[in-house]
Amino acid sequence: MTWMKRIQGLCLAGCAALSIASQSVAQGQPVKVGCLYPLTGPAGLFGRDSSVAIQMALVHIRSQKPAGYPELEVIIEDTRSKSLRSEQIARRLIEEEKVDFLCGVVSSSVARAVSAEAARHETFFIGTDHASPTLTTEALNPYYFRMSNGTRQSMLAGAKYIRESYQNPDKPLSIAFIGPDYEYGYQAWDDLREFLRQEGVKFEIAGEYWPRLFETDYSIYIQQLLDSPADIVVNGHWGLDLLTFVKQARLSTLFESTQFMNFDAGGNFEILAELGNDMPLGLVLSARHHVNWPPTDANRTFVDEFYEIAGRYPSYAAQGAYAGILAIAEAVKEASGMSDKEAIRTALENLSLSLPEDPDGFSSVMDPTSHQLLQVQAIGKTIFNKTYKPASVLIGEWSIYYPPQTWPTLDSNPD
Amino acid sequence: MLSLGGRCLRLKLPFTRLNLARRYIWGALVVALIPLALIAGLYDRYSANLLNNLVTNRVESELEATAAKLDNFLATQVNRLENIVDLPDTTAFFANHEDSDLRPLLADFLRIETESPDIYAIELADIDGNTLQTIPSNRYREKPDDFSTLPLVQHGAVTILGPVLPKNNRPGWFLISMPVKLNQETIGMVSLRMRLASLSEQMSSLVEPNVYRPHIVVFDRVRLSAVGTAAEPGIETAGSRQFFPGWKIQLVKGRDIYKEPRTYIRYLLMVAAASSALCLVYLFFQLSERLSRNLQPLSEGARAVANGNFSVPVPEDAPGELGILARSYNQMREQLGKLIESRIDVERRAALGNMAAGIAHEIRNPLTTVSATVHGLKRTEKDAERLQMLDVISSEIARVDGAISELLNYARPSEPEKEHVAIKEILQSIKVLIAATAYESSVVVNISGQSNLVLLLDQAHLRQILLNLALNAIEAMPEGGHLTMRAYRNKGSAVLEVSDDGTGIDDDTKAKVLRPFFTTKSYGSGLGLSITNLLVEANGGTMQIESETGIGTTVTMTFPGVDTKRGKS
Repeated sequence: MTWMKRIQGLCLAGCAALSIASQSVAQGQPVKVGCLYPLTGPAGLFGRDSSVAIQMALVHIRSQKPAGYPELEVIIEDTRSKSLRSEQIARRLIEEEKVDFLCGVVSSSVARAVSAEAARHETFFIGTDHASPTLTTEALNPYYFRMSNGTRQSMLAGAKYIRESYQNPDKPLSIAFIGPDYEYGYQAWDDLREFLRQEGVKFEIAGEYWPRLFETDYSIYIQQLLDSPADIVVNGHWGLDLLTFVKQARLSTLFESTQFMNFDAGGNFEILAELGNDMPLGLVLSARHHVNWPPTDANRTFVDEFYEIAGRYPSYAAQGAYAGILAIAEAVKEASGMSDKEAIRTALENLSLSLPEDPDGFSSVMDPTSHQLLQVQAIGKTIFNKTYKPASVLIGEWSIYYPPQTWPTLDSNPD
Repeated sequence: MLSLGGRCLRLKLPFTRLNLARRYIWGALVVALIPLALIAGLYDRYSANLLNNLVTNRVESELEATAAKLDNFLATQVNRLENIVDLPDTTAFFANHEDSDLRPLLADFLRIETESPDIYAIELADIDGNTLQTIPSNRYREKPDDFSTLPLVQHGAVTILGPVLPKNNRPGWFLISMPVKLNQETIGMVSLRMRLASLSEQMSSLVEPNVYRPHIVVFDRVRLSAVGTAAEPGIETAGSRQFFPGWKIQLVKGRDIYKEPRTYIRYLLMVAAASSALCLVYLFFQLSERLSRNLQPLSEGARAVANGNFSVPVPEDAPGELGILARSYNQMREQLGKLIESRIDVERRAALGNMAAGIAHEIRNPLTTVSATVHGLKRTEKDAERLQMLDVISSEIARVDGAISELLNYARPSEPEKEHVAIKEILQSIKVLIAATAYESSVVVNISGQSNLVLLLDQAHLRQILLNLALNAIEAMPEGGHLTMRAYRNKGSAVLEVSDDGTGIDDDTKAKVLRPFFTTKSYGSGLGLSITNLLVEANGGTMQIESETGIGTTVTMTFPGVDTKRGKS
């Protein structure tokens, strides 16, 4: 596959932009998709995994072409997790490359800027990896759709998990929160508190801490958590931040003295692979996709194919990107082309996709109001499992939470 | 305890008695302990002060370094703010405030500035404080409820408002503002809404939760922890200079988990030192006691010798030189005892010799005359009764003569004329000689041993020795018994044993039995065994008597080595 080699070669050279297209000649203009991912920097793995998944999605779509799927041309740009750079790239993709869709974006704050830019140009933006609920609530615009579970779903499942596993009728649970100091972290904590109240869990806040995004030294925060002992420490970090936090916290007694939980990104394979034997056991983690759940053929095939291409197992970003490209193809097919944006929107709002991360008998469904894809959330505990090396600890002892019929909304201000 | 008669001296010493050994040992202990105590005390004092000084110096230097970091952090932000304020586009924005849009270049520049994780937003406000623009726009803020009570510091052109502590589940912040001027007139304000934790995190190097915690204190009424949260007041242990007017760092006491272990360790060390000193005292006491125990018998023994008692040995089990000294002492005591004994014996015999010579001269000559007269009377006497009486006189004269001979023998024994003597023949002749007496006393006589044993000694002396011992043995068995004479070779020496199973003698008697004129019998001169011993010694032998009351007696004589073949010795 020459185009795959091209991708890998370009990525190794530190490329800023990639262009992927199906080899077959399309009838008419192919649908142009401009994807924004960090391919370098602290969140670079998310972008690189997304690129591989986009290739896989394109191969899949090409194989489905007789069913009427369109030709897609995907351009991938390296945002380096910079907000203004992302905004400028988005503008250029829209104005110069004339893309029909924007997709991707890992950081919620970057996504918000890109979403605003996309809306200004009436271009659809298919979010694949960022998770703050702001974009599907107060900052929602008609051109934005998200193709993976957000923090609100993670936190709803997390609140249910806490109610089922840790609620103490005799005294309120003591919960401390630590998360990145930006919108994603704030929203995750707001949502969790509200859902805990909705679930009837009595709790009190032992502390709230906000280290900066991409912090490298968590020692004073870990010390603060140890000084304000809590029954549960909910962590809102993702990617390299979470990796650094766990590495530093395992040198202290934090994991022994409290129950550590991360419902949105903690179970990402990237973390498990990087930590290997250093990943503590018994942590409650989840992610938007798992290599070992659901135990379906579709998921196993997706994980194995990804491994064949990339030489590593996928982080959850891959599944989001895969879903995003499939969603675009599905919507264009349903709308019979790009000419009618209203039809595209309608198709996206009524989208139902059968994805590798869906358990048997369930398909991911778009909530037409919030433009948020509704998916199953699986939460588990870290256990020894060397099936997917280099990770030697995976998630197990699963608790499965199906999404509500409609996108959950907050009844009131949490405070 | 001091025991005599072959038992060793064991003394219970009074503790208060200061002998030389004790004085030396206790003196050494005092000499060792006093400097040790002095050095330990001085060291403890010095190290405690050193630690305190080190900690104080370190804390002060770290406080200063951290204050400089905070100073620098604020200066960097002020510089950043100046760059914005000095832009013509910024001035233009405020000058044409009816046009609320930012020029694209300025907007992008401000966006880049807000990508710093330390800055939440940049606010552009008019001179009345009304916010005209917030970059990024989605980070617009409401005016804080406590706006009017927030600390406000103006330093030069810079104003700092805040800090606003974390609330409503959002982190804290503070505002650094600078005016935008046109023709010396303020036309607006640019503010950086700063992440509060970015400032407080600068104190991370000061976090030592087990000793102290750093706080940023603003006007003594707002107190921040290193993670930017509100902090509880505590006991202040140190403080920095003001890194911004009204803003300073304060160290408050932490858990101080080291203090208790430090005190505990100090006490532990003191107890250990005291225990060591006690152990040392005990050790020295034991040493002193042991040395005294070993020296005291020597001292007592020497005193006993001075009093003429040579029979008190001292124990030889003392270690090292003391053991050697004890052994040498015992050797010296024995040799001295023998020397004195021998001297007494020589003098006694000289005296006896003179006396015996006198007696022989004064008694024997008249006795010879009496004996010759009696002999003449007997030849002419016909009366049987008188003849019997004359026989008695002759017999008694012979007995007196025998006694005088014995006395002379003891005082002036004849020099031995040594020759090779076959012991077998001597024993057999003695057996024959005593056979009648033994028979009368119901004593069975046995002789045994190596029949070819040959001795080099005076044959007459040997006969007298054996005869004396054999007759003594028969007399010791009034109820009958067994007399055994045995000769054998032992390690090149010839051993002769004369043993009986008669009445035996006790230890006290045994000690005196070789003295002249000592006898347990109602008759006899008491010189038999003394002469026997003299004859043995005159022939180069030694004699030992072993006896037990009721069991019997064995006299063992050892003579210098001879071969079993005649003439080879």
